[in-house]
Amino acid sequence: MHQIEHSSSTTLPDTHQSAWELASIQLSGWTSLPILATSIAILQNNTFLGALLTIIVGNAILWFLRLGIISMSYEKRQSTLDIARDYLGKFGGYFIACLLLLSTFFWFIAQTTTASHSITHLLTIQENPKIDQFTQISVLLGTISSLCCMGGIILLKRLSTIAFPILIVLFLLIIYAIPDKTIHTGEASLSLAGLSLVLATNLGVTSDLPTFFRHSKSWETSLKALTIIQLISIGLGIASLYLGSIIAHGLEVNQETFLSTDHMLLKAPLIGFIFLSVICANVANVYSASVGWELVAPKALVGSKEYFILGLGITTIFILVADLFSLDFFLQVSDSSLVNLCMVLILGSMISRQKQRLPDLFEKSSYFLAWLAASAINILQYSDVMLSNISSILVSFIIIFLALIPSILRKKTIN
Amino acid sequence: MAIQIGKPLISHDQNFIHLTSIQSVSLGLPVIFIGRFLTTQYSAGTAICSILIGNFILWLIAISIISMAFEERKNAIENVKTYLGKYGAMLMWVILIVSFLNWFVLQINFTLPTLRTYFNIDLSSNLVRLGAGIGFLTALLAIGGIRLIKWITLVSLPPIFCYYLYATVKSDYSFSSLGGWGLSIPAIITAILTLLPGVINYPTFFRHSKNKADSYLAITLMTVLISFFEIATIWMQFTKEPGSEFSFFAISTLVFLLWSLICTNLVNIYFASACWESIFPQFEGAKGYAIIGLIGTAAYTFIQIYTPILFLENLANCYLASLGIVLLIAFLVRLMVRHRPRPFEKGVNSFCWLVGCITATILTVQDTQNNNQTILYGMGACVVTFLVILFIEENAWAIQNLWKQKNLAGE
Repeated sequence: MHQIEHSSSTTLPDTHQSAWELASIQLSGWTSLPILATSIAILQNNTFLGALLTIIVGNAILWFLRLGIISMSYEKRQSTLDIARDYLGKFGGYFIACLLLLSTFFWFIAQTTTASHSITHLLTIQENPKIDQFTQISVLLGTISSLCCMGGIILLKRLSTIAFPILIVLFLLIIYAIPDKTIHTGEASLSLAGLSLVLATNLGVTSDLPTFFRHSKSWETSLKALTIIQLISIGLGIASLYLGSIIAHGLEVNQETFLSTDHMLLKAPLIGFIFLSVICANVANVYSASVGWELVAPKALVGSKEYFILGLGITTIFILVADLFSLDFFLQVSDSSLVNLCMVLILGSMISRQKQRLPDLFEKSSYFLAWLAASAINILQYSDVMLSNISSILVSFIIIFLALIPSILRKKTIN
Repeated sequence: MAIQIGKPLISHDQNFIHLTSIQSVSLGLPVIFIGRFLTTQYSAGTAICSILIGNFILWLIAISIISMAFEERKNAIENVKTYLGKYGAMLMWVILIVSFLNWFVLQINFTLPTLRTYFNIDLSSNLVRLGAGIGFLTALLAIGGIRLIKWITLVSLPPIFCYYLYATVKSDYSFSSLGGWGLSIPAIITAILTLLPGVINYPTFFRHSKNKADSYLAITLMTVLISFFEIATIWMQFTKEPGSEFSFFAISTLVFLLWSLICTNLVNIYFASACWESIFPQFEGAKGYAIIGLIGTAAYTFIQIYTPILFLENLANCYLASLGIVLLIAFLVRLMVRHRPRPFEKGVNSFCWLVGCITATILTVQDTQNNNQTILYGMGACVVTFLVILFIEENAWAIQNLWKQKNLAGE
């Protein structure tokens, strides 16, 4: 067995995670309504067979890309940020640290807000109308998330290994109990339309994988975990095609379905599913952001209590700003910045493999500029300033590829 | 920094200014408004005199409480355990947890409506959210533990003192409005009872004191400052002229109210940590404080009905006041009577407290409005029970002793 060496064995805890533990952490962190709803979005512009094919091909591509990302980190047990610093330089590392923190912050708020709304709709507790049930649910979710963040990776692992099987059971119960199982397909013909959506939704999360996979027992374990993740993702993606009747626009639960029927068999597992999935997602998000926090925060606020500080800090802001304004723009920007990071790292890794050395200062600068330019153009796209009709992932890929050409050509010059 | 051996690491680095800052800044609106409250019941002159006398008596009680616990640097629960035994400490644990939740919730429930009234803003839909946000923020700050509390309150004391001076000077209330000077026994008792539950918990903070001299000096300085803060509210007007929302005074009032709330609940969390330490030693420290803060925030968010909170608060105040008087008498009796066996002494103390608690509970159930009278009756029941037992016990001991001496002489 190829045993993983690690650069910081004295500080990195829990470096013997099994394939199932690694997979559970990822899957319980992703298996939430907004992610599952991607399947429904694919179906809107595709036939059932086309959607099926898109999900399978998308996951196969993701498996390949994720393998590349994980292979970059396994030797020294590096986190996403460590790799980003290797490829984008120290200065770029600070940008990525901030990006990880902001991305976690936006996702935490967006997911918890959506979950709180959904649970508030589903729970019909008779209370004084003056009592703000949305805030009560938000506080409950925020409090439990903060408490679960307390134990870092060890508590996250325990939580995920317990929660993931429960989430699967609840998901199957939901599918079983859905009153309308009709699959509403779009009018387009068989195609791979929606592939960019699968990649855009999942590549952002992909760049976070090294932070979690550095805890793997071995390279073989990481490979097994990744394969399990993709296979289960395909299963969940296909099953999610049946969720169309319970998910409304905005990725919340469709109130009409629940108001028209008093279906407790559907309500109860859905509440449990939303509740558990948002807690797991929040805890995983906070752990992912902790590597960024370790770089930018004062030393006194780093250590065993950093997860708690992060969890509580984000929860505090979430309670104060939840539902006050739309986070869609910020979510799009942070997500596409993470996707860009993922692309830069994969291309950078390919270049490094060819050169058989880590990037030098010139390459680091060009990688950083490529990421920065692609992210800046994405912001302009989302603001409807330019290129708003073209897929952001395509635009990013072209910009990054063009920006990396000097680095690729430079190799030839040196040789 | 001196560290005590044989116990969890407790820093002994606080001088009298640190101790004073912590207790003076964290009074909270319900306590400092006692001056204004007494003025509405009596004349302002009587309120001032009563507050001064009440705080002077509290000074004496505080000195006694600190003297009990200082040598072994005990927290409030450990101190109670010394005098009331294991079961008394367990009861104190329960009461302190209930009290903490009540105080935490009460501080938010008292301050936010004051803000709403003062700024005349419609917070109805977001009031709970704002309260919960402040609760989370307090829990986050609590991670810093006693060191952060010390520095936050130390830095806050001068601006808060200046705010009181500014608000007093700016007030329309003149000295001629003070009315007649005088003393009122009920007003003095009210002034004492408002702070007595807090005084019982002083050992939890004063165990961090550098030495006894710093503790005593801190109590004196606190008495002066707290008296000033309580009296100043007679002048302070929490009403504003229309259109002055963004005036310097309005903004400083907003900052004062919110900051006082956060400081008070930070200190409340540390008060409750005494309970937490005894039950969950593995969660002692930063995590423990944050968990306590989260529990308080959850309590505030989910218990939106005022009546049970008021009922529990009244009960907890009665129990803590009764405990205070029992501790005080036990301390004095221990100084005078040295022949009592310790287990018997603890049993007697616990029994007296129990009688006080039962009396207070019955009276609170009958009448929830007259809390001060209930507290007084509860304390009175403790004192009477204590005196009766002491009377019987000492005479029994004297007769038994004489009998023994007589038998020895006969032999």
